[in-house]
Amino acid sequence: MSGYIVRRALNAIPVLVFVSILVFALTNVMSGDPVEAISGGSEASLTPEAVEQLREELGLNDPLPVQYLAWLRAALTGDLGRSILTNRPVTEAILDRLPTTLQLALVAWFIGVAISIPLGILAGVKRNTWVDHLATVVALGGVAMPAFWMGLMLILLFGVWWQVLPPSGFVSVFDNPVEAAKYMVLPAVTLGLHQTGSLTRQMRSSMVEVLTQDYVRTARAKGLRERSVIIVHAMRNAMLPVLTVLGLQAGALVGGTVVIEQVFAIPGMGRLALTSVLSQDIPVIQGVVLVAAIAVITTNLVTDLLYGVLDPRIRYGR
Amino acid sequence: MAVDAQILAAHSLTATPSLMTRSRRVASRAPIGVAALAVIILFAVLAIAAPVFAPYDPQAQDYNQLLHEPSLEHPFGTDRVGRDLLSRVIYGTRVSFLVGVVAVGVALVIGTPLGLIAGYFRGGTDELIMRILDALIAFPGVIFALAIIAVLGSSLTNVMLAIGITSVPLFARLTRSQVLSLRERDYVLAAISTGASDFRVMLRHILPNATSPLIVQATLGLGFAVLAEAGLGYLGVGVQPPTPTWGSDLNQGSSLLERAPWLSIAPGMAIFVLVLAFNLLGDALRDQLDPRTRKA
Repeated sequence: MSGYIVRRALNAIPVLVFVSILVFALTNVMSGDPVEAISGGSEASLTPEAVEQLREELGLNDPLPVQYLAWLRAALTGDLGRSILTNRPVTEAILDRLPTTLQLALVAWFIGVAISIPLGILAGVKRNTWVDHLATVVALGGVAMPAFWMGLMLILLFGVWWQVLPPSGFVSVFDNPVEAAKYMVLPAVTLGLHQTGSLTRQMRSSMVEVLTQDYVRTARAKGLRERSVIIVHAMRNAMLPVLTVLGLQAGALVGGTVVIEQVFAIPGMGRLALTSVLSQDIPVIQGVVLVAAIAVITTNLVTDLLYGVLDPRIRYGR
Repeated sequence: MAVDAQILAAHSLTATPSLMTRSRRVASRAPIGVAALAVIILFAVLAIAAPVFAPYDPQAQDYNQLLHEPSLEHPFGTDRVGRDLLSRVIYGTRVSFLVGVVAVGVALVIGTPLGLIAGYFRGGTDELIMRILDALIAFPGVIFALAIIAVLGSSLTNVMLAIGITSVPLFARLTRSQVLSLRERDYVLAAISTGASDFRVMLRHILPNATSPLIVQATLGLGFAVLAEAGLGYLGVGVQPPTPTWGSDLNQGSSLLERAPWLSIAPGMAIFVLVLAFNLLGDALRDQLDPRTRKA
C-alpha cells in the first residue's frame, strides 16, 4: 500500500512542474512588459535609467529559466508577489478569500453527491421506469443549464418573488451558523445541482453494468434479499468509477465557484480572480490560477489514493 | 472531406435507398436525435438570416419603450435603453454559433494531432505530451479561460481561443485512446510492414477509423463552448458590448432582476435549449455510430 501511495504521489510531481511552468509562461511571457504594467502604461514618464533599474530589480534582464527558478523559489516559500492594484501580498489576499470559497465548494459538493448518488442508484435499479426518466431529465438539465442562469432563476423565485431566502450575500459559518446556512442555501444548491448531471449518469450506468455481473447473479441465486444484493454487492462495486468522476469534477467545482460567487455576490476567491482579470492585476491572477490548479491536483491525488484503498486490484497492480 | 467521401462510398456499396427512405429510417431509429438536429438547424438559420427574422435592429434604442415588459409588440420585452430583446436574442445566436464552431475547431486542430502522435509513438513522446495535458487539465476551465483573457484582452477572437484551448486535452486524450487500440490492428500492422511512412499510417489508416468518437465529442463540445461563451459574457469578460450576445445580455439583465425579470429569462432559455440540443444530438450520434448500441 505504501508503495502505491509513493508511486502515485511521485506521478503528481511532473504535473506540478508543468503547471508551474505554464502559470509562469502564461503571465510572464505572454503578458508583455511587467514594467509597463507597474508604471500603468505610462512608461514614458519614467527616465530610461529608472526603467532599466526597475528591470534589473525585477530580474527581467535575466534569462527566462533563471527568472522562472527565482519565481518558483519564491512561490515555494509562499511568496507570490504583490497585487499591482492594492500592493497587498497575493498570498494574503488569497488566504483571506479561500475559506469562503471552500465553504461554498464543500456544501455544494455534498448537495451534489446527496442528490445524484441515490438518484443514480435508483435509476439504475429501476431501469426504464419513471425514476429513470426523472434522473435523465435532471442529468440533462443540469448539464445544459448555465449555472449562473440557474442561480438567477433561483434568486428570482426564492429571493425576489417568494422572499424566503436572502437573494445574495455571504455570512461565514464561523460568525453565525444559522445566518450562514440561510445565505448558503441558494448558491450551494445551484452549484450542487450543476454537478449532478454527469454524476447521476455515471452512477446509473455503472449500476446497470454491475447488476449484470456474475457475482450479483450468485448473490441472488443464493437467496439474498434484493435489498442486500443491491446495497452490499452491487452498490459498493458500482461506486468505484463514480469516485473517479467525483475527483475529476473538482476542477468544475472550483471553476463553478467563480461564476456562482459573482451571481450571489459572495466575496470569495472566484470574485478575486474576476476583479483581478478586469483590472489586469497579473500577479493576483497568477496566484489564483496556481492555487486552483494545486487544489485540483491534490483532489485527484486523494481520489486515486482512495481508489487504491477501495480496490485492491489497483493497489497490487503494476 | 476525404473521410466523408470514404464513408459515403462505403455506404453506397451496400445499398442505395433514396434519401427520403434513409432519413425516415434514421428518424424512426433516433427520434430525439433528429429533433435535436432540427432545433440546431433552426438556430443556425436564425443566426444566418438574423436580419430577416429580427423584428427590430438589435442596437436600436427606443426611449419611449424603456424596460417594457413582454407585449405583442416586443414579445421578450425591452431593455433599459429600449432595445428589443427578441431581436437581440436572435442576433445573439450568431456569436454563440461562431464561438462554438471556431472553439471546437481550435480544439480539434490542436488536440487531434497531439493525441495521434502520443498514441502512435508511445514511450517518451507519449509521456511528455500526456503530462503537459495533465497539467492543462489541472486548471479549472473557467479560471484558465479567465487567465488567457486577462493576458490577451477580451475580444471575440480571444474568447474563441480561450475556450478552444481549454478543450484541447479532451480531444487529445480521446484521440490517443483510439489510436492506442487501432495501432495494434492487423491492417495497421500490415500498412507498417509494407513500408508506409509513420505520417501516412497515422493519416490514412488510423485517423479515418478514429473519427466517430471525435464527431460525438465535437458535437458535445459545441454545447460546452456555447455554455462557456455565455458564462464569460455573463462575467463581463466575453465578447464586448454593443455586440448582442446571450451572456452579456444576461449580465445586464441580472442587475435588473427585480425590476425587469424578463431580461434574464429569454437569453437563458435560448442557451439552455441550444446546449440541450447539442448534448442530445451528441448522445444520439454516439448511439448511432457505435454498432453495439445501434442494434440494441
